[in-house]
Amino acid sequence: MASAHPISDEVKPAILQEVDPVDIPRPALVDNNRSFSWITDKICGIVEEKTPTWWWVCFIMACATASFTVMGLVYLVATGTGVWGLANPANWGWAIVNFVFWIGIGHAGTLISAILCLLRQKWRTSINRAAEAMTIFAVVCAGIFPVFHVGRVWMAWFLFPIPNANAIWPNFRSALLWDVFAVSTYGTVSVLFWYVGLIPDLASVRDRAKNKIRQVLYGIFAMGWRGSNRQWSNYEMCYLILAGLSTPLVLSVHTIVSFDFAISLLPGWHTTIFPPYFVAGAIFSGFGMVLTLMLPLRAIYRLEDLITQYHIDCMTKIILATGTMVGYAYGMEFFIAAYGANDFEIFAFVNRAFGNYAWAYWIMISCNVLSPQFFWFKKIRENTALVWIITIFVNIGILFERFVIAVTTLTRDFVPSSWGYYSPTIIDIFTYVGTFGVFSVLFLLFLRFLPLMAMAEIKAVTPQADPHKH
Amino acid sequence: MANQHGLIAKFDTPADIMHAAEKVRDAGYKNWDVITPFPIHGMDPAMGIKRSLVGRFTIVGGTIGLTTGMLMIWFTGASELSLPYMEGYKLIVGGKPYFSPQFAFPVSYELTILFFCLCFHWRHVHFEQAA
Repeated sequence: MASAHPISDEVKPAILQEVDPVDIPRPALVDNNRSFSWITDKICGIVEEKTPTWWWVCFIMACATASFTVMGLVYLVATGTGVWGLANPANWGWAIVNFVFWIGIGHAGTLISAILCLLRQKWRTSINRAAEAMTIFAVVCAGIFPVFHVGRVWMAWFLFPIPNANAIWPNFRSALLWDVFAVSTYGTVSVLFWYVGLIPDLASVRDRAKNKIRQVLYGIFAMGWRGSNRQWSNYEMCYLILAGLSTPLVLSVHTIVSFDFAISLLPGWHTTIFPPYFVAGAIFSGFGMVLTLMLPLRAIYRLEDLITQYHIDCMTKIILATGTMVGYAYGMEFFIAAYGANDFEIFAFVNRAFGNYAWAYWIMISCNVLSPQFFWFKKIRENTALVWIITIFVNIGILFERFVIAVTTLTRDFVPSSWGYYSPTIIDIFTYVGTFGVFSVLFLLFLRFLPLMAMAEIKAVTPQADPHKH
Repeated sequence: MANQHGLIAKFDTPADIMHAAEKVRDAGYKNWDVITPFPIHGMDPAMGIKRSLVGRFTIVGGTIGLTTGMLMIWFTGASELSLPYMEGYKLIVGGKPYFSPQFAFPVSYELTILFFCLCFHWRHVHFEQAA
């Protein structure tokens, strides 16, 4: 909305006789006034060009890393869950920590696509496609853990309400089962949302296809899209509905994940702050991962005109805001424990800060609360290398946060005779590190074969697209 | 001009194509369309297109989802009814009520959203709006 509506003379307030309001221009969402065809050529060009060498190098490294997960899981299923570090008292260790970590990262993609769409934040258009892809791949990585942690993976179908001969149904009072439904729904809806958004762009790639195979394959997935306004009319309604549905979905899914902990009775877990605290942490880590992925891509593919400094500013400010919220939650937990005069609760938090996992706690605090504070400073937000390094710290910080929450409470809860110490085994570590490989493989395939930005949406938010401008 | 099947016109700006669409709408043509690389704000009224029906399917889907969720949870955990191939089993969890809308809510809520999306997606696959 670049031009203000002219106010007729009769209704002009008196102040306007003395003051002449200036039209403050909004920051350009596409720098250098690029044309529609430039945007199409840029993004489709990435899909159409020969695969660059760096892609192959990264892909091979990613496959090698992903094989750690495959090997780890095969060994787990063949030998048993004893190969992980889980034991009394910490029967939840890295498996649930990794699950919550990956699900949290996925939430930023849906937030960017859905919540920012409802809030009419037009800057979302250059990052939403890649962020949604990130969500789907993160959900894939997250889903590995609930499925494999059951031990007898061939019985994992018991998680779903499928009839069997013994009338054994899932326990619908359990938050772990709510997770099954929440994460399944989240995965399905995210894929649908991503795919619906892709259709017009797949049609663009199909229309530019130079060989028959490409034309047919992209054509199948473009589902006959012509760009007709009758199609756009339905598409826009679908998109809006999906955005409207995904918003409560983002909030509810991570709330339900937090319920895994919050509906228990353990000190440090049984607090009502968990749902908003987990959701804020998810958004925080997810935006961190979006920047970790997009900043190198921006440099490699020269996308500075599409992901401008304004975009980076917006994302870093969101990281700053949500990181501060998470820091507030840390402080509130301590305060409520002290104010509530519950000895177990007080001990749980003092133990976190000064007990035998204090090293993890202080890494968490410095990465989650202190490192985003650098984003107050414009000089730092404008230095993309520094921003990238800080986002790596954000990712590390959120991992440690999940670890601190899960493990400190389990290893030191009510009765000292039940106390213990948890360490992950080498299998735990390899399986987790491998999931970054799985994620990278999927993301690299996405980069190679699918348009990494929402071309149609970016065009729609440029000033040239406004029909009222002329 | 005797065997003319149709006309196509190309425009350079969104404003031009929108004004042209208004003219075609006002002239009373029925079998026509506007093709753009991105949705143009205000094109629907300019073409005289009514609101998309996608929303109606969505609501129906959501209602089915909520009902399915609650019914499934009630049947499996709070009833001993027998249906072909399945039988309910009254699961005792800490002596709590067999069914309550509170504990049934998270799963029902997620199924509501899932069915919202699946139902409208089914409708959405048929993109064409009737003229």
